[in-house]
Amino acid sequence: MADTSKFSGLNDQELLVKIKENSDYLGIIYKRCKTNCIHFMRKMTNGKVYEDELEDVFQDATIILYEKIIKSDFTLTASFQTYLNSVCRFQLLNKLKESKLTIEFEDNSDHDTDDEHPMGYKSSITDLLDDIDHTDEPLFKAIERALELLKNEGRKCYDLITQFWYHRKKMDELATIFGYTNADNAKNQKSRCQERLRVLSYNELHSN
Amino acid sequence: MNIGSKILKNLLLPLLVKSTKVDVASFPDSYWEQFSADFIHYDINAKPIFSSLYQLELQNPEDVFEKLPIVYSDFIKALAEEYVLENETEISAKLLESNNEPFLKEVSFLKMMKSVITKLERQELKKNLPILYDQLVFDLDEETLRQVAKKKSREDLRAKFKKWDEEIVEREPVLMENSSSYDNTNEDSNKYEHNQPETKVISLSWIKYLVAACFLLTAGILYFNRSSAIVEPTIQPTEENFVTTDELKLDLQNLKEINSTSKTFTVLEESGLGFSTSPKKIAVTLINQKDRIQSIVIALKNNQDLQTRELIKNKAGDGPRAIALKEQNKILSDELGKLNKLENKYIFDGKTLTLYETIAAENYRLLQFEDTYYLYKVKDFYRLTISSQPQSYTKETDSVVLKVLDRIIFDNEQ
Repeated sequence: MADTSKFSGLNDQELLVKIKENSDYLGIIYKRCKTNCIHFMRKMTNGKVYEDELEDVFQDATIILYEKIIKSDFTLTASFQTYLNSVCRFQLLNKLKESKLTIEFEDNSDHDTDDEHPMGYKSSITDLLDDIDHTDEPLFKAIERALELLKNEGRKCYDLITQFWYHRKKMDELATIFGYTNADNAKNQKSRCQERLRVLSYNELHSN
Repeated sequence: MNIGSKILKNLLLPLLVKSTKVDVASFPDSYWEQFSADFIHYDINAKPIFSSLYQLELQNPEDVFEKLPIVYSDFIKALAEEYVLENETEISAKLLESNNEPFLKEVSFLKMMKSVITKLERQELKKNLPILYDQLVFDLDEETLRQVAKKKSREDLRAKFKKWDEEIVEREPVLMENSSSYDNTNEDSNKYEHNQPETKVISLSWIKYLVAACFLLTAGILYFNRSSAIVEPTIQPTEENFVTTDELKLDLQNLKEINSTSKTFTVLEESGLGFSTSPKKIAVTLINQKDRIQSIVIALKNNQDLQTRELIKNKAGDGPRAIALKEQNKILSDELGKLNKLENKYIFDGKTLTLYETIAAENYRLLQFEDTYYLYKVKDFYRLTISSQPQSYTKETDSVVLKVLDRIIFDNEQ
């Protein structure tokens, strides 16, 4: 049964804390901000960019926001809507720099006098998704295959490693999530999983 | 204390504490900072480390020295991890400066691994974003569950009714044919009955009403008896209030049975990644006596009430009914005492394990580490003692043992 009411009262700061604990809460941001953000980008590009592309930009912006949130030093200086509009705007400006499309909102003055405004943005927000380098290197591909193997083996090792490295969970949080008696044991298990990944990666690297 | 020194202290302390009487744990931060600054050159020049360790008057210095290469490797790996996590330290800067090969190699691997993980997790997150909200708000509240269960029960009941109706229709013509043979004089009425099969069902419906009426009557009698059971002792007793032998029987009939289930468990042992080649098996019997205990407590309470009412009738309390109640109470009290003595305990003879528990079998694991067996339940480990007597659970608290047990569980779940 969908009980949508229980999350409607969460303000941005409360939501930020929840997202830090559990990435599923990003779903609320996605639901709350998507329509306005897509509308903002449509207006910005005069409707000349495909919806799929705009959706892709919005999803990337949500991931940028998530990666910012899970870094311990992140503080929210604008509403989620304004932040996402700004990130989408900056991404679009970068993407379409060389195209001949007319893009509005190109000036660098802030438009966030009303932070609650669905079309508000801050030109000072210039966050982008970090590039992933070396994707064509054999070791990259070997680790990728090894991680897939770990995932298919039973997920526990995969989840431990990814929760630590990507979702930036601390050892005591990992102990709680995975049911270990304490943080030291979680650390120990994570090291073993990492060693296993190393062995699998080595095997993958040398099997081809 | 800087991160590097902390890491080294955590790695070395367990090793040193066992080998020296010197209180290494209370050494100042500056000691560990200096030690870690020296330790990063261990692979090139180990002498400063050896001399520092000799000063600690180690009982078996060679034992500690033997383990130093592993400690060094772990130290470098931990520093590399911190560096990749953007927690740069003075020590990692020194390692970079000196082009420390193991450190650079580890950093390179971890950076690559982090990139791959980022790529995969971004893809996963992107894929799931549109459904995250629905996942989050999807909640089966108790009322919904109750309604679903109710609906299912109703459907089952309807199916049963339908089946009964079909059975009734199948049997009915035979009944009616028999009845018509008694009334050969009135052919018209026979014809009418054969042409009107609905009436046959109606005639049986009376049986349903009769059953329902009987049910209501029985329920009424029971309700009346129950109501009379809560009559205050001060009220002048009337003949109707008194206990019948049927009520005595009813109390005993309400006693619940002890449930037991048996399962053979594979003993999990330390065997690298995977199960050991010849796993040990232990037969585990789970005895759930909770319902029985509760029902005895209720029966004793009811018997107490009955005894009180019996005393009102027969002040001496030596009537046959009073004696029977006393006897029954003694039996039940004895059994309750025995059950309570076993509750939340275990008996283990090394081959079979009997658990007096209410937790289901799938929540347990049996492990062996060194010569000791352990039971894992609800996130805790308990040491098992071999004895023919019921034993209370002893929780394992030794962090080293817990670490190994966690690992055994983890390895076997992979």
